[in-house]
Amino acid sequence: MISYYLSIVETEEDREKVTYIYENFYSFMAYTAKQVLKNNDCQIEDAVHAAMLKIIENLDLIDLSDPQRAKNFCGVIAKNKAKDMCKLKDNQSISMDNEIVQTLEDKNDPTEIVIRKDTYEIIVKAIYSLNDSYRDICLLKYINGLKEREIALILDLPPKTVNVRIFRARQILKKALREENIYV
Amino acid sequence: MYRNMTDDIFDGILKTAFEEYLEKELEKVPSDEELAEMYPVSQKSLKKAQRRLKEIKFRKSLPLLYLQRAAVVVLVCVTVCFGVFITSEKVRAAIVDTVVEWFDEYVKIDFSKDSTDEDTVDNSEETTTTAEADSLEIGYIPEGFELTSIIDETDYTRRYMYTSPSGDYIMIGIYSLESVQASVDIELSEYEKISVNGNDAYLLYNKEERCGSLTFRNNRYTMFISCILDKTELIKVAENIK
Repeated sequence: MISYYLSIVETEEDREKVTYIYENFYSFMAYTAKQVLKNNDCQIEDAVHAAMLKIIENLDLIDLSDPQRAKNFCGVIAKNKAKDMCKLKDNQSISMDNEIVQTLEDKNDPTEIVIRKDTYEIIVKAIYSLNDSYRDICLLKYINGLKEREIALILDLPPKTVNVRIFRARQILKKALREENIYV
Repeated sequence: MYRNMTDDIFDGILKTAFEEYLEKELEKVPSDEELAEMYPVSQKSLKKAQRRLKEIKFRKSLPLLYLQRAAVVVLVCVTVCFGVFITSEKVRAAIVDTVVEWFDEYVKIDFSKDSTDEDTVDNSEETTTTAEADSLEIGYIPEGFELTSIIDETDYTRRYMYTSPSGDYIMIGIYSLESVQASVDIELSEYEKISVNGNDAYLLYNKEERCGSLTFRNNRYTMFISCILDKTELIKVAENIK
């Protein structure tokens, strides 16, 4: 399969990148896909293959100088491809994008922002409670530093959907903080 | 504005929180070795891919490789031919003729210590700088010429430039370096070795163009005069530098 990937990239630099990704992140992508697909080995392989193709399409967005970020990038794509295969994504995304998020009252004065020691703990806890499709987009945004347009390209979503999901994820996380009397 | 600032701060908090989340999540993932066991990357296909990468690199450098080989072959051929032909008397004579012909068109001006008589060269160990050249007096400059510039190019080089309204010029260069060597093309000029104040001087002069140069050395400095001027005037200028 790697030979096929190499044949579809043009430059030597890209070929080296693809080989590195395949060698270092193939197993991780398979593992991530398995979390979604459970024990369907055939589908796991297909999901990784689809993820590899998507990564190759967006090779310029992946920064291999930070392996952890690169790993996250590959993992999110593999997970999303696995979800696509389960055909869960569409149903979920429709229901989620239609859900009504309570509008929260904003305290806009930055001088009033209080960051407590446990702020990060609360947010991390809230991140766990986030829906996968919100979390993955946020991971690509905050970990990989991708723009909304780039995330939309990678996850095959309309840019507007990406914007909405980021907005909602932020609102959910803000709400979690407010419940603990932390105002941001 | 407040809203933007608040958003930026919140984004910063989220970035750190997501990094923490990712770290925690990756901790749960089995180690690379375990993952490799669970989902092995086909080493065969990986090796094949690496071989292919090498092939591509090699293919890219192929033209350069051929070029290098061709250059080596040419070099070997030239060396062998030279070795074979040099044994022939005719070839040797032709080479000598060419070298002689070349030297006929060039003159080597050498003011190094070894090439001059001991009594005309200052044997002091110290190198003189042109700052001391103020003691030199340019005693004669033809009428109509005016000093337009004095340039100290380096510590050892000073140039005096005289120009006339008709566009003629005299450039007098004073070099305090102890060794001055130059090969000058004499194809277009007449070459003469003359004496200036008892010192050897090399005169190159083109009658048609009315221009030339004179190089000589007194016991401290090497003087170079380049000008558009009559030959006799040029020599007179040189003789009056004291």
